[in-house]
Amino acid sequence: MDESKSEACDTCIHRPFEAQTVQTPRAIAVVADGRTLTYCELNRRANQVAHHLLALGVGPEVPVAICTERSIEMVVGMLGILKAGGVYVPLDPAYPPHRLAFMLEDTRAPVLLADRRLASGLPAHGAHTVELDATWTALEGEGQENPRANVEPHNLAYIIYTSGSTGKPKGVCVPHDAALQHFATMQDLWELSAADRVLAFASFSFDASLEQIFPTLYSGATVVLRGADGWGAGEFSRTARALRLTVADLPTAYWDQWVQACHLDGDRPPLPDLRLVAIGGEAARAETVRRWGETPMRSIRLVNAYGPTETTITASIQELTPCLGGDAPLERVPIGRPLPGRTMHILDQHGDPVLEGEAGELYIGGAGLARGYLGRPDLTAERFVPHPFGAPGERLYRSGDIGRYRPDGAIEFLGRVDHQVKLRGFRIELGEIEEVLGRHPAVRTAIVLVRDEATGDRRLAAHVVLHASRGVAANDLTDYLKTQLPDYMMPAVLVLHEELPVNAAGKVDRGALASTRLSRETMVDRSFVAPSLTIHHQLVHIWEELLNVRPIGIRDNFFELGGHSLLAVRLIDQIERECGRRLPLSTLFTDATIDHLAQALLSPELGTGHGKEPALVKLQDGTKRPFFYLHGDLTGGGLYCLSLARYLGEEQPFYVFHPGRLRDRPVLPTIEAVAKQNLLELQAVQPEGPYLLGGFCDGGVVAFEIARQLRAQGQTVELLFMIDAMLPGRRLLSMRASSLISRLAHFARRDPEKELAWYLRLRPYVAYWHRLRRSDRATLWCLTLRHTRRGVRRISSHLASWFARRDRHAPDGSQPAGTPQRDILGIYAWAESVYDPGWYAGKVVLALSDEARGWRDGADPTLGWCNLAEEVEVFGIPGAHLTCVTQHIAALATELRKRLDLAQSDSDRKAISHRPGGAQA
Amino acid sequence: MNRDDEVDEMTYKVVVNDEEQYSIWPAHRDDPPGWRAVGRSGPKIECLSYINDTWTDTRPLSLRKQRAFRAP
Repeated sequence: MDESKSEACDTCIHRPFEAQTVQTPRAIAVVADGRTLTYCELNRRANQVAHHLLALGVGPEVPVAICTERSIEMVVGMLGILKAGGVYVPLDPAYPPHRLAFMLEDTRAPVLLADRRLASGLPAHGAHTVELDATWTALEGEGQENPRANVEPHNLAYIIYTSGSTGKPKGVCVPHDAALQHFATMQDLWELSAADRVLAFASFSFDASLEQIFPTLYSGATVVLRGADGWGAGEFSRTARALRLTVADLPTAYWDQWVQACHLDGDRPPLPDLRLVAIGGEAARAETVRRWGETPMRSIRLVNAYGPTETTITASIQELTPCLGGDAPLERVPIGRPLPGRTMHILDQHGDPVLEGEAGELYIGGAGLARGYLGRPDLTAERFVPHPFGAPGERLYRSGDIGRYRPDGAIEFLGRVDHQVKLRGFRIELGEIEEVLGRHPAVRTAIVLVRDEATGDRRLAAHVVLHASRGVAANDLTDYLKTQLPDYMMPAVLVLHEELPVNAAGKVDRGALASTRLSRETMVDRSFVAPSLTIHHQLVHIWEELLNVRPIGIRDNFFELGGHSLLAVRLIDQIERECGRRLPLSTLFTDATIDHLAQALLSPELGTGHGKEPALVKLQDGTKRPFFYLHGDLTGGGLYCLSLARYLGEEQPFYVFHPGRLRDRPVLPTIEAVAKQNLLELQAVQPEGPYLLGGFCDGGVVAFEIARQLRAQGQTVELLFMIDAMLPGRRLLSMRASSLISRLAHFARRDPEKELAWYLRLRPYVAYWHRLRRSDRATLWCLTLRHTRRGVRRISSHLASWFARRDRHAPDGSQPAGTPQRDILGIYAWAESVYDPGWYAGKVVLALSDEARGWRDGADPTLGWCNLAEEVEVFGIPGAHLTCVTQHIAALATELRKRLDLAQSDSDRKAISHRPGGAQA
Repeated sequence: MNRDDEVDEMTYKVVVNDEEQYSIWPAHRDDPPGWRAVGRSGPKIECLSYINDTWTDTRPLSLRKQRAFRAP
């Protein structure tokens, strides 16, 4: 048996079928929709097609495309192409015409076999069309004996297209020897005999179909083609029984649905003929395997198969029947061991084999490797890599799948390499989120993916199918997830489905999911309040575009609908563009609903600076001592505080100071004045210490002053957490120059307010000059252009306002309308340059970003704060100055939380020890 | 392969085997058994671009030799 097998392997994939025809000519080869063909009939008709093709010039390495409905004709056509020596290229009629046109053009197939109807639907192409249905009668005249085509085992047998995760589909080119070796192996593995009736479920454009057809035809068995109707997963038992199937190779998703349906019909008699069920295509769920073991199906041999098209259909299998029952239930369904003739290796990122239990990328080797990708030598070279320790010249295929070895040596599939995504700087395993969701008792299936919205935004979306009997709302699942996942892994969107869309291969169609319209009802369970005013409708429209959710009610929260801080900035921009007014970002802090935004927009006080926007905003409430934070985001809205608040946990009240209200105060904006003002508001919320303070950048400096003033009052400050706070006086040259000028002005006893105004005027020019010194030519040019434009604008607005107002500038040196941001930066810069901080008899916790650590000169790591405070603790956090609170906020948040927890417990202890009659510390 | 934010910074070299199949290999490592460097190295993109231009016939050499023997 082995000898003849190895001889057989030295030939092409249609030859063993031809040999079998001689042995069992009258056995039924194919059954489809009630029609049958015997072996000799099938062979004869295929030969006729082959001769016709040969006459057309088809030969080795010549692709021939075939596009027909799944039918007996398809099998005839397939064999005909192969017998002519051509390369079989199946085109699925279910594909959109442009995709079929692409495949035709890509393969440059000179001949297309198609049904007349389908042929007419295709876009223009260069192939010669043989209309199968019309030509059958014409083919009657062709020769019926096996043609002599000089096709060799190294020649291509088929090209099957797979879709890449990005871009165009790729044609995988598989030669005869690889395919034949595989079919022979499967014939052995399935223990096929002439008595078998094997289901050909897969669409012809998937290589699995070949695995279902050829080994069957080698054994004298019958191929049963899946017909058009009556193949719902729920009816599979009935259909399988009616067709007397003995072997069924099913897509995992389909099998999963079938098993769910089986469970409900627990007491139906088992299928007497079915002896083998093979599944594959995606990861099987352990829970479904367990359920299978509880149904009458458990006596049927169940096999899990894994393999990419690039290594010829199946690379490894795992017998699941022995895993059923027993005391060690499966947690993950393994993909098993490589088939004979194939090897599988799990390698780490350096290309070395992993240790047991360690995860790595799966590389597949052996005789089953495809030749490569059609017309893509670069992709081929990238994915088919040299075998680091194999036979000379051997290749391995990088699967892009992650796996690890179990203790028994079987391989477990852990996920796709590209299911590990990076979102806003975080590395996220989509599979991990799916698993967490799957553990919820109500969830049947969960798929998590990244949605790329038209706005350029990317976010996580979870698509869930529930068990029919359990009614939970999306809200419940979101609450559950909040207890299981870190903030950055929370899906922004959670959609409930009746069932998930499935592609032609039977796998969950992630592409379709990623582009589904999101509907409000499926997302969050909120009371919907319809928009009533025109402004509501305008805002709703903007929100719908940004969030891609509809409909939106006016009481819906922007962030709960999937918005985040970056999107919030775009929202403000968009509102300004369409409604003509710029809302302060703090509006979203107070209430991120359309209702509130509309009120703010309609308020006549907006824009004059005398609006009712509070400087101190409560971001979240809680039971612990409140944390007061100066976010220091002078030009933005400090929206990173929203995520920071989430990191600190629900029980931590979080109050945020906005720096922006200085403009409208008739008081000189020194650091001391700002701190005093903030302190008043702070003590309105928390009259007595101990206090917890924090600040970023300029906010850190103000926080320092607040802490000083609190201590001067006799209050306790348990935590002063400063991030990237630069000591006043240690400033850039431009600042020093400006402060020098102001000091000169002061010395000359000018008005400090005028001093500030001059400072603000000079500052841009000094900064510009400073940048000039550091720039290269290109930047120089850009800067010059930009500043010239600005300069012109500023001069013209100066003139305009001078004419309009003709009096002195407001005390805070505000420039005429058009540059509000410049105000605030300049003001703070000036304020810090004249700030002379006194001694702080407490502890400063200083967090410095990578960039800030570069600001120091000399050996002092505390940027000089050690000269002003009794105790300074300094440590590093990742990121640049701006990114340490956005992209890399997780690290910062962890540290802050640690200090807060410590400070909270310290103050509790102290409170206890000071309580009269309380326990001693 | 969809790895955003990740750029493979490693230097690779273009290698070829006896069947005249091309691939890439980390430049600092020894050539794998049966493969030899063709003399081009650089970032992955460059190596693949070179291979795209050079590897025009993906049929294994042994197959091409066989065909040459047969009468057309």
